[in-house]
Amino acid sequence: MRSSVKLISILGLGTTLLAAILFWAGMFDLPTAKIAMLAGTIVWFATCPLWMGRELPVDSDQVEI
Amino acid sequence: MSEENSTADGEFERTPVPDRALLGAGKFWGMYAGEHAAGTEFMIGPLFLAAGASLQDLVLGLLLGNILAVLTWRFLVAPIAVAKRLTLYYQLERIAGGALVKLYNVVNGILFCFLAGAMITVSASAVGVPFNVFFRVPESTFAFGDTSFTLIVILVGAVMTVVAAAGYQTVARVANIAAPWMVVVFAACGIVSLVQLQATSAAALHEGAFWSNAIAFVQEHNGPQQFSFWQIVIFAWLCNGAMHFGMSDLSIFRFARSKSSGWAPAIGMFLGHYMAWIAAGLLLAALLKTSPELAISADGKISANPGLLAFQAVGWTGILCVVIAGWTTANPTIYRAGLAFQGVLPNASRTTMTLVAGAVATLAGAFPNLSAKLLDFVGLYGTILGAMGAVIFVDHYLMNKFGLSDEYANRTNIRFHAPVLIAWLLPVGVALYFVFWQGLFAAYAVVPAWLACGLIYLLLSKIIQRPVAAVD
Repeated sequence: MRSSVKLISILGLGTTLLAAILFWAGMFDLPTAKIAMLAGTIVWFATCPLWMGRELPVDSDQVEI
Repeated sequence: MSEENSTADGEFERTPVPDRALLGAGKFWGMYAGEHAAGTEFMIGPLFLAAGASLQDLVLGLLLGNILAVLTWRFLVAPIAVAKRLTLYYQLERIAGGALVKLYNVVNGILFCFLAGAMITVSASAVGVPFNVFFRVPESTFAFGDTSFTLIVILVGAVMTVVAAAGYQTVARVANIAAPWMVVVFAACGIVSLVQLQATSAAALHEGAFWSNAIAFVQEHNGPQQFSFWQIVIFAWLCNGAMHFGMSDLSIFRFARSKSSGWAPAIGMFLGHYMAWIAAGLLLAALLKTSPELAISADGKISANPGLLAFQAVGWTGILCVVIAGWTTANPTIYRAGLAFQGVLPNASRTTMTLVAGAVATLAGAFPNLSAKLLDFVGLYGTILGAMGAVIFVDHYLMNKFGLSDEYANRTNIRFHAPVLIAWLLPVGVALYFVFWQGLFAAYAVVPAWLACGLIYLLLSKIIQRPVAAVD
């Protein structure tokens, strides 16, 4: 179950990047690419909290720019 | 900041990190992969273009500068962190005394407020886009933008402040989840922008006309400006001067099992301060080509509106990314500024002090010119905080070699070790004079101030120190 959700998250992230690449390749127009990116984003944020650890890394209260 | 809890409410704040809590290098690579792709990147990238940096200088200058930054983390910070396994604040307290650390923290907190202010501006620029409210940079440094934009800044600042007052943990979890996605969105922004710039062939990329045309357009409106190769190198190297030269990242690397973890910032540098900066710069170039009228302020000058830039390239994903990037940077910044202020007024609650820090940050965010001067601010930040790292370096490597006692405040049980204060303020004061009154590019001052601080601290220690008994 966990690995399936993880796979869906990675597909969501991949969709966000792939949409830009397909726009580059001329296979998507920009409005389609934007919708695909948003869909990928929603999938990432909807599924990622289900598997990504809740333990905070040791740098989580540090300020990095 | 309370003496019992020098930095945040984490573990091992006042004891060396024990072996059982040490982390392997893989953890640090994972951590830094998500760092440095923050809200600041959306401002800094376009500012390079607006300042007139050529594409070739940018590509090569950022490469060299980022390599130097990684080397600084690896050979300056990691060895001390692994040897001592203490936070920056606790090491400073043992060297300089608790009272001086509080002063350092307040300065840090004030600078954090300005940094958080810039991030509030960045997020507000994205929130305003759906309402047709745009970020415009006024002529004067301390002038507000449009009223509607100022109201959005206040709203965004208030939300960020209230969330920060509840602690950094929740937003840190969001930041953790968002980090890989933000890197992908920056990459997508770059790819889409290159298509919009019709720079999809190797020849077009090599020629770089899309970039030089954008610079020419900016300079036509803003007047001639230059940003040289060495400015790019020094900026890329020292924009995180507070973290490496200033030793702030001792707090992170104290958990490292070996010094080789010091290479890990490379991934953050090359994703955030290379790919993301160039991608963000391309966003402005693309906007100037596709919809130049959107980039021109009422006064006829070009200004970079991060929210609008990202929206034009990747739509709502860009809006979300700018808001989250700004928010996740501002949140720990406001939180830590609140802790610093609490150190001066220990009777005030952390929540109250965080609200004060958030109010100051929101006020700073309402002046769009402050975020438009982020290149200068970041250099200043490195100069002021970076210099203090020299005290740690000298104390660790040189004091015993010169027959002096290290961690002098701890050994003599004093709360204020004057040589550290003089060694810090003197070179920083001179640097500020050159920056504000002689027009020196702020990042140029980081290394000279660091060297002078270390030297002065060593000399004054030689004069002032009295023999002390060894203590643990």
